[in-house]
Amino acid sequence: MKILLIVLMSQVWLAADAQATLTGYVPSSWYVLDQGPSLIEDGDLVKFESTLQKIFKSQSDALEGSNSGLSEKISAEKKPKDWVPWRLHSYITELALSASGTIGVLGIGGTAYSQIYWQKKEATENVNTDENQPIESFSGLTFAFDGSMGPEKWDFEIARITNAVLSLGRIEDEKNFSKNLKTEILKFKERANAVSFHNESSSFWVSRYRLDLNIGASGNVSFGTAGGDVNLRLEWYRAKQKTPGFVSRELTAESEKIRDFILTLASDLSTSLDDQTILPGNFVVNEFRVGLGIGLKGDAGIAKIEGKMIGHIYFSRKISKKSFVNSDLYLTKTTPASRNIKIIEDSNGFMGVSDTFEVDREIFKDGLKKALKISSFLTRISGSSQSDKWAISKAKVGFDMSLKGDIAIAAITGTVATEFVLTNLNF
Amino acid sequence: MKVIKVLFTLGFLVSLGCAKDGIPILGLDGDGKVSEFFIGEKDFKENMTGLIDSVNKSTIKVLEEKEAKPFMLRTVVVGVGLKFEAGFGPFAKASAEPKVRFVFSNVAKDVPMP
Repeated sequence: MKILLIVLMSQVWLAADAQATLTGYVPSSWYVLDQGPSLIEDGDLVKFESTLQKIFKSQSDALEGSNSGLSEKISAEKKPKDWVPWRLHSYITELALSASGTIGVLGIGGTAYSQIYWQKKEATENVNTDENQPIESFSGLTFAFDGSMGPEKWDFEIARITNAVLSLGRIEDEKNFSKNLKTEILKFKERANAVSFHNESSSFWVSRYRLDLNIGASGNVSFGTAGGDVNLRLEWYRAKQKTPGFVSRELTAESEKIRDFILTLASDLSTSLDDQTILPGNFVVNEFRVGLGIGLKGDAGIAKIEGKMIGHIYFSRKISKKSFVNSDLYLTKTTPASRNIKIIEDSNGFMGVSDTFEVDREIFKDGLKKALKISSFLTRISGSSQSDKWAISKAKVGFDMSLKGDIAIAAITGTVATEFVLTNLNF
Repeated sequence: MKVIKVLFTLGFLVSLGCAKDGIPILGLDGDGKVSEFFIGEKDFKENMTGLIDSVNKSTIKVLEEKEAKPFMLRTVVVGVGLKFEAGFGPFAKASAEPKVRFVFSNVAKDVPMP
């Protein structure tokens, strides 16, 4: 009887202990907004680290133990100069964070807080990320606009895109579609013009502006990635910092606000992130993504939800293995120290009167620093997680934002308002 | 004695249900609620190794056949869902599909990454 009771008690104790020790891996201020920077050291990072290491070790072992060899078949056809036999180049997995702070591999649905890129070591020689235009998983038509493209080329591109969509045979009202698409592309052009301005005091510059459009059979055009009879993605690129963007000195009222927002955000990014350019594990933050939104009163700011987005802005920063490079700037403007940053939210849930909220710049900059610290933690574990053939070459970390400007890891039920792209300099 | 047996059984079940060890798998169920369970490291590795072997073999085979045509295809991304069945306890019937993507390429360098 006594033995039975002891066994019973030990089981209950073990169960309670397992529950107590394996929840709350992450400090609450890392994933709960507006907790304040003083709580940054809270929580048991040892367990968080242990879980991350366990996940990465399992993935590394699986990759190392798999047969991911090269294709043996060599075609007799004339090949491009840079051709090699087909091989598995990278493996991408996603991590998520529960509302209670537990980290894990993302399964069905939900928001990933991080995407981890495993890359084969021998396949990465001489990779020049500056020239490396990324591909994305997108089930629609994608059109890229070179940043150096002159104004006269835009009319040609509008006609080309219109014809490409119509050739799919899914649009019933072609006249309505042509008119609406032209309107949206001209707005896109105007915004691309606005984001191409550069803040001379910042190491960050806008390298890409992406706009996703849904097109209905009736010819109506709306923003977003889901729905629609045709999905269209427009991307304005500036591959190098010194490449001139398409810039006109004449800006509309909306474009002026977008330009000011870009210059202000670039300033805060540089102020908050330039102190530590090389992160543990030899990673760098060389890209920062944020949703662009326009409020009901015409203010430009960070769009917190997809419904308020009119595209994504990608800030890049050139960092070498020794230090970041800040030269060859195309267009310079004075530092906009006095300007504000705004967040564009859904107007329904907030007294129904406004969708634009002014963030506290100091809280925002502290939030960026916190995001860098969280990223550093991930890169330290990532940098030490590798096998003979495979290592983590890149990680994307998604963050949510509060209306005050605080930044925290995006939870599985949350949204990604901003994203850091961390690149391993060893690749 | 009967009560002790019931308590013993309950304690055993609770301990198994809360035995959170291995790799945590998170996801949202059909109602949008967060589902969380753990899979043993050994099982996780075996599943992943099998998946990588399988995807690699089948994809390379298809790509080799495509190679007979002009070299327009340079990089391919394959998205895969792998189904895990959870163990004993409160998550007995839960399952999740960890989403992974594989990038295949025939480009020697500068492979565009998703």
